[in-house]
Amino acid sequence: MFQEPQKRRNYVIYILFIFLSGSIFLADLFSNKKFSDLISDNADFLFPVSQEAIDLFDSLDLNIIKNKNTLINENIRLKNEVIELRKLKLINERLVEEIRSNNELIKNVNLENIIYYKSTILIKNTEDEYLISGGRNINLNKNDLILNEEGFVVAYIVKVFDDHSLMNTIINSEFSIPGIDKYGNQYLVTSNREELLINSIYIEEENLNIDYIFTDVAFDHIGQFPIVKLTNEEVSNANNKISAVVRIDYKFSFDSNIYIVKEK
Amino acid sequence: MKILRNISYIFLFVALLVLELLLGIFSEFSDLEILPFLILLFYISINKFSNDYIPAFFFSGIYYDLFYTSNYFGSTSAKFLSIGIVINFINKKLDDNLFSEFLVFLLSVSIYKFEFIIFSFSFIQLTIVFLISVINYFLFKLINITLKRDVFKKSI
Repeated sequence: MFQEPQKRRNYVIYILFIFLSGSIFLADLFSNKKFSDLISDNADFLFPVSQEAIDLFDSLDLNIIKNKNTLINENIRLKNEVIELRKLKLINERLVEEIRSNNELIKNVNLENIIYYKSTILIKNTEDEYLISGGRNINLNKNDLILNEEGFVVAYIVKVFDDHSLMNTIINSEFSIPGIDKYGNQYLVTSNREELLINSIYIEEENLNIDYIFTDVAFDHIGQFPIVKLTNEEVSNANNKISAVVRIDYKFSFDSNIYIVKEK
Repeated sequence: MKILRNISYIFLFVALLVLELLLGIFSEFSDLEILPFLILLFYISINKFSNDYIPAFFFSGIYYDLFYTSNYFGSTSAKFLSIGIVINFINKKLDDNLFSEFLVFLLSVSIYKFEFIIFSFSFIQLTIVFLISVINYFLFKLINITLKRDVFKKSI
């Protein structure tokens, strides 16, 4: 008989705590995250995941689970390699064309004042964001760019901690970065997790022969780094707006080689 | 004593939350995840629902917002508390059978992963959420059966 009122009282306290969480949420929202930053800066020691711990987990994983898969994959890889070799001649011809295009891009990148920090993925959270090694200890800031091994921008930093950072990647739906092409047209590159959506925001010259869209100092980036390659992609122009959709082939893993770009 | 017990609940929740994140290392970022923390939330919500767990729900959410996400502070706490209250309420209203329980579990996974569903709504994402629910519900049942088994009674 007293069970139901007791349950209702439980709900009331739960609801009160939901309101308390809501109040904290509002305080953080109106302080532009200064509230949460202040607390996380002073309580960073509570973060339990270190590079050593990840390496330990990773090695356990390799030893126990991966052995069989590795052998099967290796077998498939060797078979594919024979087929791939036959295709190399055709690829070589295409690469010559690509080198020409890349040389054009490299001219725009000032490598002398840039330093690359190799980073490692530590953890993926439930919102599919990744925590990576490196934080205030290597002077990282919000919006610092993160490149993959091919030099393409695959993420940028959204939150910095003492020795780790949170990044927003091309496979997050919140990913949004401005870019520019070789004609000076400006774009906003966003993601729907499976594809990168490229939409122009300012047109300087209407030309659909866009090789790359890259970052630029005009958007407070430290230099020009490619975000997306449009050489073999379908680019459309409708109502004075250039747009394209590019499938995301890049996959993040613990073995991903990612580099944080910083100014010297 | 009660305070000590509540603090131990907070540590248990936080430990399972960290374990859930570390399990991502084994799955190599596969979409099909094992969610021990959600299993704990669900277990508490339907079997042990009480005010004693409110600090654990609240502080584990705060801890998660502090170190693992770019969310605004308090949003994850609200999510965990909402899961607790919604799951308990619906579970009480439904019949006690496997199908209803699975539906409630599916709902809890949907709330838990609501950013994943809302921001990239597609048939594939819904299928992934369903598969995550199946895998984790199976684990929940295993744990539930293990915890319910009365070893002393069986031996007699």
